Amino acid sequence: MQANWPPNARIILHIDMDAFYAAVEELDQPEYRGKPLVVGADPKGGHGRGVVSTANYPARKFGIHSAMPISQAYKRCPHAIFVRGRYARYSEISTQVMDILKSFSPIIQQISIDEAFLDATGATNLYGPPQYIARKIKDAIRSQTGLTGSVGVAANKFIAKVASDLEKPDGLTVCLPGSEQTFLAPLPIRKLWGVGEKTAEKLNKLGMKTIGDIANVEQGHLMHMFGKWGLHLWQLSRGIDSRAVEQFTTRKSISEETTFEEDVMDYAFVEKTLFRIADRLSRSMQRKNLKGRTVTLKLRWQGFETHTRSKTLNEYVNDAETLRSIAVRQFRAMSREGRRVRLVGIGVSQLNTVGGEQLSLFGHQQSPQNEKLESLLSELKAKFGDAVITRAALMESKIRKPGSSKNEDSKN
Amino acid sequence: MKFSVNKADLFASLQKIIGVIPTKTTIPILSNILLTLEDSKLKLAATDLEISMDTACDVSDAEKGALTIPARKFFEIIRELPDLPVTVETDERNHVKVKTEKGVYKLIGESEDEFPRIDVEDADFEFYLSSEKLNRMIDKTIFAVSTDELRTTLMGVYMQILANELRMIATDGHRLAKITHTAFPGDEKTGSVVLPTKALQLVQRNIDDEERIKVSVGDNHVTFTCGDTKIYSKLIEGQFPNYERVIPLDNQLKMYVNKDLLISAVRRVSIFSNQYTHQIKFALSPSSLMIQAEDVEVGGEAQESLPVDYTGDKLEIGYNAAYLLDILRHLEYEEILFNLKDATSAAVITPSEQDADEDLLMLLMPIRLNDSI
Repeated sequence: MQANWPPNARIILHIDMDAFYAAVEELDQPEYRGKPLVVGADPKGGHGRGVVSTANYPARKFGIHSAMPISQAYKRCPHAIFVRGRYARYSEISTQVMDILKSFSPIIQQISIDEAFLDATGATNLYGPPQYIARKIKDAIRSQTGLTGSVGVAANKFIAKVASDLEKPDGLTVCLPGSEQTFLAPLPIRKLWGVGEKTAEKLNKLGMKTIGDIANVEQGHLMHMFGKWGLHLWQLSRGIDSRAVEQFTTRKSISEETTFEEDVMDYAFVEKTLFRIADRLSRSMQRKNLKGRTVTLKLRWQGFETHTRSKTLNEYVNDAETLRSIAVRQFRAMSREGRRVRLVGIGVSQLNTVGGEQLSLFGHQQSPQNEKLESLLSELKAKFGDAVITRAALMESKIRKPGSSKNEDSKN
Repeated sequence: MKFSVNKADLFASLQKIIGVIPTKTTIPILSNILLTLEDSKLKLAATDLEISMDTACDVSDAEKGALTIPARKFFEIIRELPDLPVTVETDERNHVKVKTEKGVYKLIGESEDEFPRIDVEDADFEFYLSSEKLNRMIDKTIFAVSTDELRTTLMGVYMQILANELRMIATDGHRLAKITHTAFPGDEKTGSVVLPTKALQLVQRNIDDEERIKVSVGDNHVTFTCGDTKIYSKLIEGQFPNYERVIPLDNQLKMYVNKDLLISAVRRVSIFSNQYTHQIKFALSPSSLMIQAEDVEVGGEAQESLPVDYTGDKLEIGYNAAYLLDILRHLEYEEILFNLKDATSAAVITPSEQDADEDLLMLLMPIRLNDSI
């Protein structure tokens, strides 16, 4: 046995598939292997819109990364292979991977299509010490799917997640319980959960560059600066994280967005697009039996500056009409000053599947006719595709099918 | 301008008018009150451009003049003064001195020319109501208005002036409150308007009891006049929905229930309902009403039953407890009547016996129960 795992410490694994979408493409199309490969929007010779979903490792050498505008990716490496995502296929392989993980421990929390936490605290009798479990999982994934994943092993979720990222691809990193603080200290603060660009800047200005710098600050100081969240940050920096691997995570949000073929000045056209997005989102929510209370408009201007604006309602909704009218109002309330729009999207959070629907006396919202219409529309579209029927308001506009993407995240 | 006044008198006028001052505004002058002094009468005016209010207060040692003064600060200093005579003096630079025997307080005012003039067109017609009646009608409806900015007409109270009836109606689409004043001495002139809630709240707060109130209705404005106090308000534009269409006439099932018993049972049970949906379930059977709630997300459940006068078949209906309690709290009667049809139709809730000169009615739409679909 390797270095000892304290008997009362939890064993948490974080498994993160390497460049997942790109890896699946390489798996299915052997000729792609070893060449720079980008899954995402159509680059259209450098004039394409939309963003990179995943770049494989050869492509990353050119500085291409997820969420980068596809045109920029093209500029960096025009000879890369660009493919559109085949999400049904990725989801199929994802299910295989998750099934493999479940065979090691039933306590699994899937974070996204290619990422999961596993609580293997009770599995040592079956599979040996934590390092062995991690190795066996990696081997099983490789032999059964042909793909590689990186695994982090630690006594809590946060450290496991940090660890899995350290030796990507095909990594296996173990942080022994008790050594968390030394493990984290040299890492940049951006590795802390919840520290984005702006917070990092703020912390940098105060002379905090590594996680160790934060751990050495007085707890009260951070609380003073960031409130309760500061305390959380400080605890993370010391490797303290007691959250459990939640088997039944609830989805936190659902959204739909569209990147325009060209940056758009015609705000009426943007509003029509919101209409369509609301329609699609509503359908997707109805299929999943979800309703939400917070509706968020996402807007990306020319130049990539992105804004969101949310409204929280007193009731749970999922009808297209409400989603649309809120999004349009929020769009109109934004200071636009003749700027061009690159992307719009609508998200719904604070989701709920329980509870019945509050019925209405009148109005378009949940009138029986409208409800019937909505469900009929949904049914038709589900059967025959989006093009079969549409709202009259959308008809005269020549909306080309733009690069649209779906996001369903269940991140913590 | 110069005047002396009792603190209490001045404060009473300021207290009325301060409610008009917008809490946030991009037009600084709206944070001021216009003071105009003529013939020993101090007139006070405030506006947020939608709603304006005038009131007046008797003063002595008066020298005429006019200016505007920062409302909040003026209000606060007068409020904090002991009940003593106060002298207010202004100079040509619009500096204001407030003096009592305790001390001197200086404020910077502005010229009255800066203050917006609100044009109110002539009224098409007017009528009188006792303040008691008007306040009651506002109270019975205003709680049910919508806060949904997407449907502006529902954000106000609809007033229908008919030949022999005055009606006020409010709804947010899920519940509806309607009160009819049946002893209304109207005339041939009829009409209907949507009144903004802020104006009605000002009326409720500022119109003293026992007085006759003149209500003047024009195309775009309504004015409430009571003695020296006048409240003008723009009307909400747009078509109020056809509410009569949604009041069911064929609800055959009747449940008579003691209102206080029902309120306390609903309050207890609803503690166990989901904090957002407030969903509770009414399970009716002959002579008994069972109220249930459970929060699937958080866990916990409750049920309670109470005696009712009901002879229909078994029936289960979901309601939002918060909406239901709102309605019950506005029915100050011992016994009330639920007229029901089925699990997805509106309940008509009324006092079991109406007062002599009025008709009071509330509607509540159910929550569709998951297991009843």
